Amino acid sequence: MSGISRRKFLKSTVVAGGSAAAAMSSTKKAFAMKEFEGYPESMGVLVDLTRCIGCRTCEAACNKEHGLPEPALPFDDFSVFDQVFHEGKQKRRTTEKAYTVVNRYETKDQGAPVYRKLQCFHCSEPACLTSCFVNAYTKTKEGAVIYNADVCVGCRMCMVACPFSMPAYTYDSALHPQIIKCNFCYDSRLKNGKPPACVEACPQDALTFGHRKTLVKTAHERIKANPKKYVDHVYGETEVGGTSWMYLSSVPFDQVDFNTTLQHHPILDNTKSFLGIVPMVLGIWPAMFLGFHLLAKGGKGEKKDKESKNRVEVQGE
Amino acid sequence: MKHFIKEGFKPVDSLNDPTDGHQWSIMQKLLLGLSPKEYFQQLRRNPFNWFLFMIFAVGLPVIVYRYINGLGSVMHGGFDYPWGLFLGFGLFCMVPLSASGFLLGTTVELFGHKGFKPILNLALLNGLLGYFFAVVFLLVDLGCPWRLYYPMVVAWGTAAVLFLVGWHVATYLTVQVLEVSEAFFEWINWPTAKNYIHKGTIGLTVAGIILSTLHQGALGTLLTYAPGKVHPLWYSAEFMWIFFLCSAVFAGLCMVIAVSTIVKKTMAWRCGDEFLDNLDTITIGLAKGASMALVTYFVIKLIGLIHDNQWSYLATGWGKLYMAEIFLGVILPVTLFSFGIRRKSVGLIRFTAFLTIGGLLMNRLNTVLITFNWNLYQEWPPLLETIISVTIFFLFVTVYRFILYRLPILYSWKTEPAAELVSVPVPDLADPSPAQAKQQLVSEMSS
Amino acid sequence: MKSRKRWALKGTIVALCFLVAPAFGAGGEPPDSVRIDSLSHLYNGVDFDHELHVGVEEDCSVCHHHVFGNGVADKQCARCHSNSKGTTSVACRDCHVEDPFTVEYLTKMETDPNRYHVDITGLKGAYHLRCFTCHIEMEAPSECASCHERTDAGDRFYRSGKYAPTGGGTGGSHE
Repeated sequence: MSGISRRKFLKSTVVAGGSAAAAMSSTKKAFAMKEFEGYPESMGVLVDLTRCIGCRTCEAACNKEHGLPEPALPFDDFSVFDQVFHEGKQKRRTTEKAYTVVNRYETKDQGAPVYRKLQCFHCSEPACLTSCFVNAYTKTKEGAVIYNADVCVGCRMCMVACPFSMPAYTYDSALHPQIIKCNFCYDSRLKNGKPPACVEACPQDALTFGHRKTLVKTAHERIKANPKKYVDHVYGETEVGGTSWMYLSSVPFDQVDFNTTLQHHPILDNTKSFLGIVPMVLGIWPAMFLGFHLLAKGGKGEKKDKESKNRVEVQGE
Repeated sequence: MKHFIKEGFKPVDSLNDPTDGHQWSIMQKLLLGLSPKEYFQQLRRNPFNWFLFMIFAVGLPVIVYRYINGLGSVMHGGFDYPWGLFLGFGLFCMVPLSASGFLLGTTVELFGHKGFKPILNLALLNGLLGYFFAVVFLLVDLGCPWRLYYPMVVAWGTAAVLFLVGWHVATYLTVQVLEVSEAFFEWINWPTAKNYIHKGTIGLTVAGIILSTLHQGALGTLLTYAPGKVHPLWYSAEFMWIFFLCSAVFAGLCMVIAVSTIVKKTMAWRCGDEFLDNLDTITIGLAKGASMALVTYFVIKLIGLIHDNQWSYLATGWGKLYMAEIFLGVILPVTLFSFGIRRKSVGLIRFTAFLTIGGLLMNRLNTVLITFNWNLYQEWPPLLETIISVTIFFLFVTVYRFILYRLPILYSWKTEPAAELVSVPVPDLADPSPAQAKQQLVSEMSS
Repeated sequence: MKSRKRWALKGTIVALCFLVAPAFGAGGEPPDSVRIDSLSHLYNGVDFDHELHVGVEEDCSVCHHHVFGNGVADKQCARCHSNSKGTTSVACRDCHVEDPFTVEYLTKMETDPNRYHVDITGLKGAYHLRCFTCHIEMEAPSECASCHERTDAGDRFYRSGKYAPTGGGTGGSHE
């Protein structure tokens, strides 16, 4: 009658302690990554929208490099720039058949159209990677964010988490559904020190390949040398903690469908306050609630307890 | 069933057949003591069974169709809306509505409020089935459902919040299976196992609190991965987890009120006197708990609004939806609950519980589906996706009913008239002697 | 699949073997025409009519920057190069390399402390950026095919002409 036995107490403490240890390890990585500032040797691409002429050669090169399915229209068919979807609310986007697409924008700030190439931004601290519960994503030291379909369960958390909504999914495959996204030509080129196929194919040098660190400097130099031509912002330098693919533009970025409301620290940071309380809950709850339990027992006293028991008995009869 | 009850039939509620003293066989227990012919007679007579049959006749083939043709054949398959009803409803709504298990477990087992004991088993079962069917929804939604165990065994994405959700839901499901298994072991007459589980009650309950706190909160934290996509009014980087945890408290309590209401209306024959006699008092008690949680929720929602300075959004169309949700799902329920509690109007409380559940559904669907990608375009779940979701929900209802009909959830299991006197009183957990005494009795009986 | 990729690789390498007219030193005679073959696997080479363009644009520095040592029009360049002497090599490819993204080249650009110009476009980029800008400004022909004719390999690359897709549809994200 005097509270729970010691053996039981110990048992439940051990159970709680065990799960605490398991969860501690789960948060360790999050803490360790606090100071991560991206791989020093990470490569990147600087996309200069003022140079892009919308020739779609990058799309063709990507399709060929990765052996992607035949497109619906030829790559030199520019009518695709007129395509809009969802009652005109969305232009073309990356799909399970295209790692990259170029869109055309008629902007109010500039007479000539502006073209924007779209592909995975290869974030320094990718949300897809940090939200994946089976570690299907890897940020390589070369800067590519690559995906391993062999462990993917198909929860599509990465698609929800990606601030650029880049990953596509082969929804139509019943047996081998997987995420489809640009991989920076990691296997075929990047890891051998070569630029991705789209960069190599670009006739306008709208895509500049190099070390990310250098590209940030280059981007600012270009703005400095031509302050009237460029908007004074390098998109991707700090967005969501920095991306390997960065953009320069002559028109404000929101006019060419960039999300200019993104946070300037990694998406992972948003979960840190919660992940921080996990070990606290695991550590404090067992003792606290067992304490409450003992208090509740002790406060009632033996007599009261017996009374309540009798009451139920009466009701039962 | 009501016909048989009218004719004086008494469904199986004890170890032995009271007429001849023989032990009921498993088959007899499954058929509730009816002959197979009588059982199918009552199956046919109940119009609800025909309703269920129609739903499954349409829905089950659609589920098969989904596995043959892939997710894209039933979902919208959008790249901007990777989650649809399966997760939006099946995971994000079912899990908070199933918080009942840990809440009443804590109340009864830890805080010793024995007054809630008659509804404890129902709350535990509600929790177990809710989680179980959330996993069923997951099996439909995952691209590769056969890899469900991967985060446990094959690859550990330990920094991911979903990893935590996955592990905790899995562990908690186990905890709940153990908690409910007490009733099951009683029913199949395996007292040793029942007593063994019973000894671990406190440990299981504490584990339940820990796991529930964390994964209910973690579900909210999942959405902090998509800060720009979830509408600012429904988003808070700091408070998301506490919003979800707090709303799970009133959702779980209201779900118990709602289910007990339905049970009382549709299967009173299965309810024990202890359950029926105490239900009104218990309902008022649950309503008190729920209204406290609702008030707390309202306050922290307000703090969230102030903290992130989101007032300007209230003037937009989304703001109206937000205010409607807060009014219908929080302010109105609090008001009605307080009226109901003061006037002891159980009917009003029951109505309000349903209203609160509606408010919770609205909140979760708003957060995950309706306002998701608010600055992009809106997408509605297609027909087949809705059909599958409805089918699985009614599968949940069917299994729920099947178990309630049989296991001693709503009534207490009678082992023997003589043993009843000793075992009916709630055995004190701290003191193993009543359990031992009972075990002795049981072993004596079976020998 | 693999052989196709290898083919693409070879094609690219071949394409990057330039056949620009021999460099001529400062004081030499300008060439009448320059053969440009940078994309020769997708497009036939271009015979650039240098004489014609000299007639259109009299200021050599528009294309040749400061290399002749007689001033430069671009104010940004003039900050350093208004009085700089002519250089020994004046051909595009002498500064704009064929492949600007090799490890060696990137390292050279990044590690040389005395180098100011680290952001130099590649040869292909330099041509196109220069040609396009003027052609659009002067409303001269600016289609790809107005300068160079596409080859069969080019048609296949762009999935155009006889390689055009037959599947139909618009190629949208949600059809």
